[in-house]
Formats: sequence, structure tokens, C-alpha cells
Amino acid sequence: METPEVNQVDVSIAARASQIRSHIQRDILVDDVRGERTFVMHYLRRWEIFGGHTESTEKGRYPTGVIPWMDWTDVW
Amino acid sequence: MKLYISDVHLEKETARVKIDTVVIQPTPFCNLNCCYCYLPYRLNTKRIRTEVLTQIFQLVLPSRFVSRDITILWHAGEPLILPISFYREAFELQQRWNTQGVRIVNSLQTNATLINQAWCDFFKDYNVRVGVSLDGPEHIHNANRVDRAGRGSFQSALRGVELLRENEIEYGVIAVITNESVQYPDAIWQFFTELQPARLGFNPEEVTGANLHSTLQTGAMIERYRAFFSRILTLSIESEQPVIIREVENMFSALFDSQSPRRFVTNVALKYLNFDCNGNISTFSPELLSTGHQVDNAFVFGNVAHSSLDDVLMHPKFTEINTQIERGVEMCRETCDYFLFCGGGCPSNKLFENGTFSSTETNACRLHVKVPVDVLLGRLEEVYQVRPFSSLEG
Repeated sequence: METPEVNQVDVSIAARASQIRSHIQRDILVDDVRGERTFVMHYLRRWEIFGGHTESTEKGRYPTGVIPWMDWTDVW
Repeated sequence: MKLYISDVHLEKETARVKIDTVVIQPTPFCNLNCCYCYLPYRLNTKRIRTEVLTQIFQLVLPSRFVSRDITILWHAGEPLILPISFYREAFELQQRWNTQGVRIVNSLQTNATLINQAWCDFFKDYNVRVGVSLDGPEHIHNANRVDRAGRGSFQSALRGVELLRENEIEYGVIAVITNESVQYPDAIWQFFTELQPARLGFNPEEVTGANLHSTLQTGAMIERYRAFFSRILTLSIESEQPVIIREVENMFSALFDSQSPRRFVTNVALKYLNFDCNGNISTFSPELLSTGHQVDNAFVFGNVAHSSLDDVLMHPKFTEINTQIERGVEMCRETCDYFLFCGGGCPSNKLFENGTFSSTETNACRLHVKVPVDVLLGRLEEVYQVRPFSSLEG
């Protein structure tokens, strides 16, 4: 999956969501390495506590839905 | 005359539709008389009979339509009006007819005023999920959640919630937000962080059933709700012990869901299968069965005494309504930028606000979906310093 450019002009909700999704994916990976807590992880941890909808891989812990469509080579 | 849809169509439906949630109305009666309640028959003390319960479980649990995991939600009246012995018997009946080994979670939505130690013991013994309707601190809660003498129910509800906490029973909260409560985001947040429910959902007041007007209907009130939600989000981010906010979870879930865009659960046939205390069967939004349209049975597609689920799917009213709902969802998909997050909206909101299922935007979707998504996306764009609107303006 291609990472959208920051500050792109497309302002549709879908485009904004896609852009934010890409940033979050990167944050999840970086956070797992650094063990830091960000705005995003703040929610993802609670997400996990609530429903267990995350899973661990050798690269870290991710929301389950990320795994199937994420191209790791783009962000790692 | 049953063959209103072809066998081929039925096969396709069979492959696609799965029952995830079964809503059972044990009684329409409620001991409270909340100002914004949508249930028109909440004075009716009728209760479901054991025979009807048995027929429901016989119909659902051995069915090829049922999912591997289902929630049975006791709702549409105050469920704790019925005695614990009723639920013990109901759960035994579930086990008796659960021939496929379906994993069942029983859940109920209560005003908490009748919770006592015996109920807590029961919830723990049977792993019952408890949802509590609680609007916030006393003056906010008591503004609308009153008994038939007009007395506030806060103290009784809080006593019930405290018992849940003492017994370490996890519970979720749904708080109805009105034009009054949007003025108090800090007080509401403080109240719920002290109670620490497992999950907190905000239900902006809706036009549904007996509630013909919402105090949040105007554009100005939508902006007030936006300010309210934005402040709640700020408080959540700053909080050391935040409460999980349903609207935030839903947005993240939609963002990461590989199946996205998903459909909203109540606009897909059979995902919610709903039974009133007379054994009438419906699907889609549970409110359709439990509101004024019950008078002419407009959304009743059968009865457990004589209908199979195939009969429900082939009922002419079901076919007609399903077509209208599908048309409405497609209109949403084609015209609304928020489809990723709403999945086509809630049929009952469309009907009660727009007068037809074949329609799109409602005030409910502005408040439930658009405002939270706008606020959250905006906040995330600040975090990541992504400013699409600035780019356009600048």
C-alpha cells in the first residue's frame, strides 16, 4: 500500500481517513519499538482491553484488522 | 403465497445473512418514564410466556442462519422487572435448544434502579453483560430520567451501579445527551471517570417512536454537540484513567477493519433478529418492532408460533422493506462521504426522520457519526500535522 503524501489536497473524508490510517500504522510500529505512549496507542490499548482486537507478531502488536491489507515493506 | 423471492435469491441470502444478535423483549413495561423514551407501551405490564421463549430458542438456535457467536439482548422495556427465576429458566431453555453449540452471551440494558445483591450474584453466575442507562451527575440525570411521579431516579440508579462495582461486575454505560447536558462535558466526564464503566457511549437524543422531537435537532444544537464531543475528547486524552468512548472505538475500528466499508448492523437483514413479548418476529432496527408501528404490525414478519425463518425471508412485507432499506444504503454509499464510518445508517432513524427507508442523511447520523468523525479526524490531523483544509485555503 502506498503511503499518501502529507498535506495532499484531496479533502474527502475517505482520503483524510486513508492518510491518518497510514500515519497510525507507522506510529504503531514505532511505538512498539520505543515502548512509548501516543494519542493513538492510548486508544489502541483500550481497544485491546475492551475486545482483544489486537494481535502480536514478531514485529509488535497491531489491531487485528491491520494485518491483512498492510504492506509492511512500505513502513518498516 | 410464499414465493415472493426466488429460490436462487434465498440461497444467496442464506449464504450472506447470519444472526449476530437476538433482541428479546421480556416485557414492554418500564418502572421509569424518561422524558425522551421512544417506547409507547411502557405502561403495558405484559410479560413473555415460557412457551414463547421456548419457541424463540427452538427457532433460532438450531437454525442454519445463526452465527457461531451470538448475543441475546434483553431489552425494549426494563428487563429487571422480571424476576431472576425467569432468566434462570430462560438460560436453561437456551442450553436445551442449543444443538449446534453456539456460543451465547446474554446481555441486558437496564436503568439500574432495581439492581440488588441477588441480581449481582446472578450476573456473575451466568456471565451476563450489563449495560446501564445513566446520563451523568444527579442534576443532569434527573432532568429526564424520572419515574411516573416525576421524581428523579439518580439515587436508585447510582445505588445499582455501586453494587455492580462492589461486586466487580463490568458494565457499560449509555448516556443520552440532550440540549441540557451538552452544557456540562466536564461534569459528565468527571462523573464517569470516577465510576469507570468498561465503555461509555453517547446517544444524542433521537426522534424515534414515541419521542417525536429531539432537543438537538437544529443546526445550532448540532454545533453545541460538536463542542461537547470535542471537549470530551480533550478530557479523555488528558485523563490518566480515561474511559473507553464507544464513538472513538467505532471510528478506529472502521479505520482498521479489513472488511471496510462495513454495513451498519441494523440495516442488514437478520443480523439483528427481534422478538416482542408476543412472539412477533422482526429484523433490522429493534425500535421498529417496539414502537408505534406495532399497531398495524407494519414490521412484523411472522410469529414464533407458526413461522420459520424461511417464512420471514419470504414474507412480502420483509421483501418490500428489505428492498427499500437496501436502496437507502446504496443511496448513502453513492452520495455520502462518511459511508466508511456509518455503513449506510440506521433504518429506524431514516423512517422516523425522513418518512422512508429509501433515504439518506438524518439528524441522528449527523450527531452519531459525522460529528465524532469530524472531531476525531481533525484531532488526528493536528497530531500528525496534516492540514488538508489549510492547504486548500492557503
